Amino acid sequence: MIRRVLYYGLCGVVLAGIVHIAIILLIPNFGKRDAARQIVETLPELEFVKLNGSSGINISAADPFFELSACRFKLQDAGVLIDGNNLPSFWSAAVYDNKGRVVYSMNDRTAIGNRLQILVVNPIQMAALRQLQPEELETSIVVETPIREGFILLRAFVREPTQVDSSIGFLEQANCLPYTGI
Amino acid sequence: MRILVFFLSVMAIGLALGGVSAHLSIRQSHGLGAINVGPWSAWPFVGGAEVDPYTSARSTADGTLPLGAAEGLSFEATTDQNGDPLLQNCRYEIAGKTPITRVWTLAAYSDDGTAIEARTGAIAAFHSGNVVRFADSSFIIKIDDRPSSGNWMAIEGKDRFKLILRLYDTPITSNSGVIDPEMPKILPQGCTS
Repeated sequence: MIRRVLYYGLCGVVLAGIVHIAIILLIPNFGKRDAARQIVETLPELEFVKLNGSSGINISAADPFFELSACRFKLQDAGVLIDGNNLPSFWSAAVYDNKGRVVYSMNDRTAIGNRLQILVVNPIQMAALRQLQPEELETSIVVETPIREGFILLRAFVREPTQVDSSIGFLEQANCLPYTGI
Repeated sequence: MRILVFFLSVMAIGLALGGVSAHLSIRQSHGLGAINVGPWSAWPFVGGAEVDPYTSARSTADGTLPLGAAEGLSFEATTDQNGDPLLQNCRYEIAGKTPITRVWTLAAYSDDGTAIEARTGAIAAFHSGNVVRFADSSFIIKIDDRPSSGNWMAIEGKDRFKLILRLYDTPITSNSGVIDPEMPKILPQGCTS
């Protein structure tokens, strides 16, 4: 009898291990509140959209002193060139894959000449870039990534959340364009 | 009959244990992959390519977008300095200094991740540019339902809440590893029932 109970228990624990691993690995695919999924499913491609209430995207525990803007991209046909001006006192940018994992991140100190210009390419486009040596290679931060699609998120620091200041202009005027130089 | 009992009991143990352990491993504040400083926990690998499955599952389930490693690091606290849960009907003093950083922000959130708003409509939050400091650059932020002098965050209610302190552009996320950072203390000041 005791043996049988032990055997049942052991089998149960083994199954528990499998269930545990399965749940952890499957959450990124089936999470209900998943912020990255909301962005991927609602936002248009190659256009910065501000992630405030009107965008319908609900990011949990968002920083009240930061305004966010996201642009979805696909890298199959062309790279993506992001550039902006009207820089606020602090800003940062991150490239995410479609599951919300950070592929690349930077802040305004990483930027070249305090200018927002980022070129996201896949390895094949990177090889072409190296051969052609276009002007953008020197003026922009080149991010080489194996991901096929994803999104770039800009964060702009807002000192007073109720006041409209330069950070809004930064987010609204940022461009997200296919890069056709290669 | 015996096979059915075997099957049902193994399924019951497996699903219950597996589910509970998965839930605990991503829900506990001092969870896997975290660095802990007093009541504060941060997940330094959440913003990099080497993110572990637990940290990744956690941010997906929470519905947050993690900060990239070069953007900053966010510290979360759900308990006070003594390890008791943060409650909206209690008073706290957040006292001390933050690690070196260019900008930091501190905000209070309810359990579901919405920023807590006071009756006045002001959000319960501070940043490094609007907090009043002492001469040695340390500060005290008071969490209280009644108006208070100095840095005051109005929080009222009864539920649990959490504090998130985000350090933007901080050297503690650099490749040299996370050095033991100095974080402000969350000192309980009594509760109203």
